Amino acid sequence: MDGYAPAYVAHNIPLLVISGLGSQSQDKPKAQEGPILIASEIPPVESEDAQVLLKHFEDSDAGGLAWNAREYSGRNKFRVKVVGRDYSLPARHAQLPQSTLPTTPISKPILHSPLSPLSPGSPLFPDGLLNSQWIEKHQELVPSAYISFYTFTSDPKLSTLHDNQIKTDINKTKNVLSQSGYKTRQIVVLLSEKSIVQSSEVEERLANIRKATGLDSKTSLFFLPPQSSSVELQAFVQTIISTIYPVCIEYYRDLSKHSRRKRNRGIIPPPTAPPTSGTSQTLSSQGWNVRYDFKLGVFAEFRQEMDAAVRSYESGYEVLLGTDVFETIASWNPRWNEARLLADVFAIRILRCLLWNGNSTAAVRRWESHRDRIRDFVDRRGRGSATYGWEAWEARWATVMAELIKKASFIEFAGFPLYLQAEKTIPIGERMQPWEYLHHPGYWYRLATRHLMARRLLALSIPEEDRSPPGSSPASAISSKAYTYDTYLCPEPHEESPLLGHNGVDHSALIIDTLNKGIIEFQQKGQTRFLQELQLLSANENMKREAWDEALKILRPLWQKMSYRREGWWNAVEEINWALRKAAVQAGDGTSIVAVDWEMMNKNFTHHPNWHYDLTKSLQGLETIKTKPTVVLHEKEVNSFLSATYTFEYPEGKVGELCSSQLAVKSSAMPAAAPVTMAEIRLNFEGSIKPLILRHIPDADEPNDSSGKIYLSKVISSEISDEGRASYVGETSLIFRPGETRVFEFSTPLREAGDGTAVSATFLMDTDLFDLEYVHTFEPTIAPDVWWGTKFVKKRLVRLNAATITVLPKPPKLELRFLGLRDQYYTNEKIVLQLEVLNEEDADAIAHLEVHLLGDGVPAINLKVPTTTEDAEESQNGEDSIGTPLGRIASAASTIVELSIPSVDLPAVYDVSMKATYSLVSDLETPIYRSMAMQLDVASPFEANYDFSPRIHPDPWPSLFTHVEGEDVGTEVQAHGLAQKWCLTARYASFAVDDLIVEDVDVQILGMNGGIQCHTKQLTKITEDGLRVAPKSLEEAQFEVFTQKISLDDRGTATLDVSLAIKWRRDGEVSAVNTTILGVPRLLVASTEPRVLAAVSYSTKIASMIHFDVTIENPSNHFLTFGITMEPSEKFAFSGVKQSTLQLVPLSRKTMTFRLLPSVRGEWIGPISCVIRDRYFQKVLKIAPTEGMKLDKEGILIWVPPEEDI
Amino acid sequence: MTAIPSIACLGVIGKNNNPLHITLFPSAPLNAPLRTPLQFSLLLASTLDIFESRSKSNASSGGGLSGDFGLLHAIDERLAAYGFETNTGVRFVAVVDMRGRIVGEGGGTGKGGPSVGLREGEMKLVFRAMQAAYVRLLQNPFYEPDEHSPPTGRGGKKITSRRFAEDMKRIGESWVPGVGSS
Repeated sequence: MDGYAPAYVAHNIPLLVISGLGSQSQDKPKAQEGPILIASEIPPVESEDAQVLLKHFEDSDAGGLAWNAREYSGRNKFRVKVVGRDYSLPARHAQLPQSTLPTTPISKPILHSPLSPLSPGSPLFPDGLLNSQWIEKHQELVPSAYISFYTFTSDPKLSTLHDNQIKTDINKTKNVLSQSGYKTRQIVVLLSEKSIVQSSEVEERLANIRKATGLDSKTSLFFLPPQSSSVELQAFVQTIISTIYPVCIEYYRDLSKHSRRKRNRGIIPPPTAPPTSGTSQTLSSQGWNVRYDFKLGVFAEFRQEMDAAVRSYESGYEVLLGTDVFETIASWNPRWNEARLLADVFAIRILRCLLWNGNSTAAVRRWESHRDRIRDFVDRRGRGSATYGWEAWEARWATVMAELIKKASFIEFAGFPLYLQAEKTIPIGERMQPWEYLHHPGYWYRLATRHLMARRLLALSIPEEDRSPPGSSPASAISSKAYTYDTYLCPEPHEESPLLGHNGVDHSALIIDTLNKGIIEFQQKGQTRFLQELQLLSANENMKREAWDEALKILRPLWQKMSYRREGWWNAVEEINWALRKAAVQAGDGTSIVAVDWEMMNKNFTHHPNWHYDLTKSLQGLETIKTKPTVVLHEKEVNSFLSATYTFEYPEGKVGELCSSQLAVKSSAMPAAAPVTMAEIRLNFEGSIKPLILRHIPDADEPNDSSGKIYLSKVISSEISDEGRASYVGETSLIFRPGETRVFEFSTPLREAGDGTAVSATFLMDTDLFDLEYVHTFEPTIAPDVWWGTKFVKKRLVRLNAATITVLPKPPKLELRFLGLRDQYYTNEKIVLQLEVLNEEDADAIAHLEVHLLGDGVPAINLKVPTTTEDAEESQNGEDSIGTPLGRIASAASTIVELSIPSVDLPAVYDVSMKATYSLVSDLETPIYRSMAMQLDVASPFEANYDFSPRIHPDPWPSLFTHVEGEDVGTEVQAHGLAQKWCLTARYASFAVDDLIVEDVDVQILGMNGGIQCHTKQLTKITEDGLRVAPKSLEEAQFEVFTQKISLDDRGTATLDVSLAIKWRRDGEVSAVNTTILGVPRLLVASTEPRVLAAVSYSTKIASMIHFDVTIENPSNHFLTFGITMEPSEKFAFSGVKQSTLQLVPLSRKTMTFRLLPSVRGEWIGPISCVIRDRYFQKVLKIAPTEGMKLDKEGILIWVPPEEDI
Repeated sequence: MTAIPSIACLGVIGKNNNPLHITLFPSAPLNAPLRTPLQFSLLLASTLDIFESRSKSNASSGGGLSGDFGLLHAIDERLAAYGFETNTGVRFVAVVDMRGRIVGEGGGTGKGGPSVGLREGEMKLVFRAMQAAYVRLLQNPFYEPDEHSPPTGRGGKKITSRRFAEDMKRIGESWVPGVGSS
């Protein structure tokens, strides 16, 4: 809206003049040119309260508010103008021009407003329509209310004097105002001094003033009580504003009425003096109507009645563009442009009112219709719409709309929506132009730039003769120019498109300015892609005006960050690239040039046949570049023509082994591009792999066959250490031709364990003019990783990431193994394990061994290391190592360590864990570990069960009546008690896995209870060589056990604790004899109960006769009577008592003898039904068998030997 | 002799915001595309801003299930972009020239007469046809969608199918406003 007078286009709000508050008087015209002067002698109020009040008034100024109903609703808005004490109003009537002094005093000329077309002094005289001065008068000069501030003194002595001064002053102002003819309201505010006391006296003084001045106490006279707080001060200001607001609105309504009356009058008043110049035409009545309508509209705006304003404006607009006003003005007349300007102002004000009310679609339609009507006018009556002037206006018109929308600050545009929905008054389903949805100002600025560009195009096509500055061309040419070019709100052709060496319009600057405004809008909306487009335009404009640095400042970041590259809009990328290159060439930015040239090699872009596509020529012949640039490009930043992949052949490798890997570099450069020669390719790895460097050597096995597309070169790399970093270096030809894929194969040793990943390849290019570094980061792609073979067969690698290798630690080559390990180890055996430590490394090793035995009740383990003389010193070296030093083991040699575990008593399972720590003499720093674990199962070799049965003691029982005198009493305890004989049968089984030799089996008496003596006798004899016991076989050993009570009187029960000791050895040449002791359950001997023992013996004289003796023992102190019954049997005949009674005295025994003659041979006979019953207790005594007999559940069985045996 | 809207450009944009296909159509008075291919590319790219922010607001409000984005924006009085997004993130953009075609007798200048507007949803038919054509393209076993919108999120190849291009051409040329609107 720059082209329009600010007052013409600004929104109107009631004007309030504040006088006498604060010392500052903003504009001090000293009131000389204005004849109506309000002056006062009283100094302005300058108290603290006054300052606060002033600030509140200034804050309530509504000049900067957005143009919408929302901002204005509910608040009374004023344009606040603060003046000092004095103020002058513009003259209401024009003075008579000097030339037309009254000739005749009778016909006194009628004086009009100095702004009216009727006053000869006015610029509008005689036929002008309107100019901005009129609005200025109402908006800036003539207030709707004039507020005067006075101090209300507290000094009682001076009060009367002061009050009188105030009264005079008020009355004086009142007079001036009423004489001026303006209906400005006078408001008086009295500010009391701090110390005043509210009293009736004050009331009286106020009443007095009021009376004397005739001011209404409600609406015109305000009194600020003393000592008001800041809140009260603010409320006071609010009260004043809200009280006077309706009055002020009323003021503007009166003005409206006045205008309307004049409009309705329908006659044109005669001018003060008849026109003497120009066409001597006066303004037509239609023209006057336009004036009045405009005024009505403006006053309605003052009252914030936008609907009324629109109506007035529309009516005025229609009249203006109707047949009688605009059409009648000749296009060469300056009034034509004035009328056109007025039409624009009408339209702008209509648009503002529509936007104010939220009629966004109506506003767009109005905007379009105004443009169409004006174009129609220009085409028909003006100089046509194909001129630069028209485009300039179109641009202006779009900018105006953008600014109006911005000023209206729609709440919807604060969010994302780019355009507003159609307002509710538009019927749903109506056919709408998309543009009719009001778009945000950015779009309008964009539209404006298009017109500005069109304007420039038209301007540049102006023929040269029209472009010469005035004065240098013949008059005829000037006049023809005046008819050809539309200069409405835009310069003459010689400025629009100046000849070389003349100043004129900087079109690019205009375009950039508008673009920048648009850019801000799009930025706010987050339309980054649209922004990029505008930035490119802006940069192009900068280049047009040769502001190369400016262009570069825009293009460089755009080039780096643009979304087009990421998203593959190659033509857009290309455009930006060329623009950047062009700017960079001029600005001397070598880096950008090289970067662009690098990118433009890619065949994605359009091929320009005239372009060299040779990186080495990038900076040739450019004098702007002062220093040799170093360019670093990353793969993400450019759409590079070189792409690289890196693959390891195998996913795993081991330290010390060679690993093969391939770098495949594909060039997708333009087919016409020159080959690119790299100086170096540096491969960086993450993890344990050292960097690899490829250097270019000019004529190394260069693939000169241009037909193929893939070249495999095997690169031999050597290790070097450069600045403390070791790396591998290989040399090969590094020339990349368009369309080729070059594969470099490496074979590098792996040195460290851990994961390794190829991270990036850095291509270094080194020319005389620049250094280039292109960093390609390897990223997983969707294309499968490929391993190239020699015949260019490719192998797909099915791996997640073929650029990663897992390097396993070096396998230890120190072997640990046991020599002569037995299948099974047994308890009670000393276990000796022989561990061989074998060094299979290529170098000598210094080793330490650690052995642990784990399990329950682990015995201490003993290591025996063969000691040599050199061990001692070697072991010193490895003090920090744990374990037993084994010393130096030569390569391929071994050491045998003996682990001896003492014998254990109980079977158990132990874990033997061994760990050898060693380092090679060639690399003492790296410890290598070798560990081994073994389970050692120690089992018991034998298990046994026992049978303990009674026998008849052969010796006679001692008699109670015999007394034997002890011979050597005291030295040895002589047993005198009952002696008994027992037989202990031990059946032991071998649980071993191999044959064992049992050397001896014996019973050991561990303890006796119950006062007995005891000795044993081994019955089973084992040969000298021992008894070979096979696994799982059962062996028997019998022992006789003799017990005797020490005292005859002792009849208590006695027990015997014995154990079985088996002496055995392994079946081998030299094997130690081990003793396994097996526990025997406690044996019960010597009962007081009577017992019956049966014995059998075979007659030596009479074949087949068997003696069967039954011995009844009575060890008790009682006299016992037994009944004996012997039942006959089918199997044998017998002789002896069949039925008898036997009486046994205490401590006696008796044997009954039967002779049996069995009827069978070679089998067990029985059961022998011999029943012995205790007569007294009526209890059958069980007969215990002795040797040669057995017991089944019915009775005793006797073995009858077969005939031949007897 | 009135100017009616016609399609000036049909664009298919992939999931990675990469252009898959662009067809330009001539506009009335000169019978040539209204803008250069580059300008149309930039125009299509600029709609991505709107797709992105609308999807964001749709995701939060739960709207926009149908995929039709309606009017994206009007670039100026003549050109307006309409958009559609498929479930797989492929976007169809139709740029309409509001004065692209002259109907009635005589050639005319293209400026004459009031132009016809568009109703809400009049572009649906176009998008439906475009989607059908795209689905047909996807059914081709030799068409690998991943090549065109790689999961790495960067760029992608363009559609080279001649049949698809013909389909687009047919759709763009046959569309006239007012058909199939509801």
